[in-house]
Amino acid sequence: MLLFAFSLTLVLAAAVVGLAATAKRASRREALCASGFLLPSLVYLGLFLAAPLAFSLYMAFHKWSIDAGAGSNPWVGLENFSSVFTGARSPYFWRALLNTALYTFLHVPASLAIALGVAIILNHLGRSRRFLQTIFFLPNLCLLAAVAVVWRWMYNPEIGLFNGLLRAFGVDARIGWLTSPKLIGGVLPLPLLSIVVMAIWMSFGVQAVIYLAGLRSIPQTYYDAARVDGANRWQTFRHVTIPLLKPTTLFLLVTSVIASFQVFTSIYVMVDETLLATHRADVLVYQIYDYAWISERNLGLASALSWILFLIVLSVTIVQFRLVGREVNY
Amino acid sequence: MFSESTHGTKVLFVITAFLSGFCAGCSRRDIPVLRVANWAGPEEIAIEEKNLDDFRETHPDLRVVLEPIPRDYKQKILTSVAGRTAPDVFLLDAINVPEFLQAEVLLNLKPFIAELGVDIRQFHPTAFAIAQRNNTLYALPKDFTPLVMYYNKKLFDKAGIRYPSSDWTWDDFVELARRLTLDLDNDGRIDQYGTVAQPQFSTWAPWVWSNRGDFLDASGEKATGYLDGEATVAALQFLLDLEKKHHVAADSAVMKSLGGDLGMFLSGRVAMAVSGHWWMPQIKGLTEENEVQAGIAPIPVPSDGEHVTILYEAGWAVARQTRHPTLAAELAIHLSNETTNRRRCAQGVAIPANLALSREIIDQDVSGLEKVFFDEVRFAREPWGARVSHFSLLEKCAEEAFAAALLLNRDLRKELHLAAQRIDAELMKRSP
Repeated sequence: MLLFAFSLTLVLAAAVVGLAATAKRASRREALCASGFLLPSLVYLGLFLAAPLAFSLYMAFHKWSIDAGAGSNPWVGLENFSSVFTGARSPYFWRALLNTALYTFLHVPASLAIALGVAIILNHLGRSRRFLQTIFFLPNLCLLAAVAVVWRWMYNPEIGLFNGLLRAFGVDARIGWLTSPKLIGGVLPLPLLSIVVMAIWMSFGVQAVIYLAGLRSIPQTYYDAARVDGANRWQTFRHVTIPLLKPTTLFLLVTSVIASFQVFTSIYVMVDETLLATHRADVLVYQIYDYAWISERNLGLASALSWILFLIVLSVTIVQFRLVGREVNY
Repeated sequence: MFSESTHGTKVLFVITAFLSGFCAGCSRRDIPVLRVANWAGPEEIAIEEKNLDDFRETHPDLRVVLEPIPRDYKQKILTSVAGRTAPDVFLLDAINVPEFLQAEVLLNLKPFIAELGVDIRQFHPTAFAIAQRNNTLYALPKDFTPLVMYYNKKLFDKAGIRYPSSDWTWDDFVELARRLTLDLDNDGRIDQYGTVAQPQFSTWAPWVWSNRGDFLDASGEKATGYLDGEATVAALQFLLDLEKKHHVAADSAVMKSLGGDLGMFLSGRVAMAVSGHWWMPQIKGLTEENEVQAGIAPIPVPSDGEHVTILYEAGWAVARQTRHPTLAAELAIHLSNETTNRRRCAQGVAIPANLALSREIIDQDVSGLEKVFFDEVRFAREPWGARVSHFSLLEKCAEEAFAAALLLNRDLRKELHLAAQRIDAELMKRSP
């Protein structure tokens, strides 16, 4: 694997230098100088990004059992990919896909809406804006695993904060926020909804800061023109602010959806182990982990599912650019 | 001229710095390094460092580094093996021996035992046999424990109930659990449970075996007819019914929210629970402060069942890819000797595999609990995982079946049958 990584990196570096060398004499020196500056980053990307990606694609076409001895990784073609969709554990894949989609569709819009609201409020504040910006940004600086442990305690059915608050209001609550196998509306596991709430808390702050930057970049002349035309606040928001925030919205939408599809740490840390064994609260990345280390112990199968996840995320991103990106003017 | 001399100075500095670093690296590379891995917590780490200090004193030209891995131990060891960065010596759980053998991770220690003059009679024969295969030996035993039933004497005394006897049955267990499941403040919610739910596979074997069931056939290659056999299903249904039918077991959600099974036992919220010797350090500590009075009994059996339990063991293994096999073997031998285990006895996580030392502990124990553990070893079988490499697959499928029955109210027999079929299909695929 190391040899493969070094070889790939050398090939990439040689390609860049070679391309630079083919430039016209006048700009060749500049091109070579530029490629020299690029080389360290290229080596890093080659070793830690391109090489592992290429190797995982290679593994996806092999049976790569971690229990087998060296040399026991036979070529299996598309068998790993078809196993994901039609194998004995495929019902868990479809459940995980549904859960991941539900998580994304709940988390992203809610988080963006709250972030926009907070950004609008911050935009109208004076001196206290910076302080509040910092406060809202803080959750994003915390380690996700540490945050997950704290929220797990808050969701504790016996001594947690949320059930305690409900009991303070006279509700005799012992809700298993992270342990209940109930499906809300017949589809959404309650633990998943609980984790969405935590995820919104973690992400809206940084999104609000980005939205705030977007708001402050809108020229005042547009608002003045709208006021002159007699637009009220809602009309100004709808016809001036929203359209001019589209580049920011598109950026946040795409990055949030990509991040949501990769949710794992919060599920692994927070959801009850016995409930995880029923696969009711699985998400796609947890399935990858399960295939690699627990149920199948097959890195080839796990790699195949990773590439399927990549294709799903790529498709969703393309759709987002087609639907929303078309109207974005920079 | 000035810029030329400055430039020359810079070049000379860079060359000197590079050569210094290179030489420093070279000199460090000359000292052999042995890396040791285990799953120790903070207190155990301190004890192991002292054990390693003894070895360091006798090997001054050697660097020995302890690398504790408190979580995902097996995955990390296997990953390091795949990356050819395995620790030289590592603690090996008995249930992982076949997997590690199949992955060709382990060095045969038999030649070194003979060469270094180790007396294997010092070890408990059952513990020693777990890592033996024909004429090879893959780990030197460190410690072991059977599974037993802990009970809280104070709760029994408060309820005016006699302690469990050594030949108690499943019916006796359910009856005691019922009498010890109480709503202490009359708010309609149970505050004290008779026992705890057991969704982990690691605690099932004694219940299944005592009911004359099993998980696989004698060859370890077939699950259908065994995992879903009458006796096995009956035993697992009994465990399920403790929570779902008799309501005497704290469910896993309650358990985890109140400190786990040990936390609930120590805080007096659970009267009886199955576990191994690893509970003893905390129990001994609280017994000295008179917070807890624990008793130990064999796990109950069905009325026509067999007295049997399971034995869990850990040993010191050497990685086949080690660059210093003799030194690593010496270190493994050192870590399993009576002196190092005597230091670990202060912790008391498990029964030391050295016969003389374990007898000494029994003699010095005034509570009588250590003797119960040692007596139970006579009835203990080694786990399937110590013999069969694909056992983790069965464990996973069986736990999924149990969880589906426990949380999703599915039929346990049907789920175990599906699990057995899945396991057999997978074993067919994996067979040569």
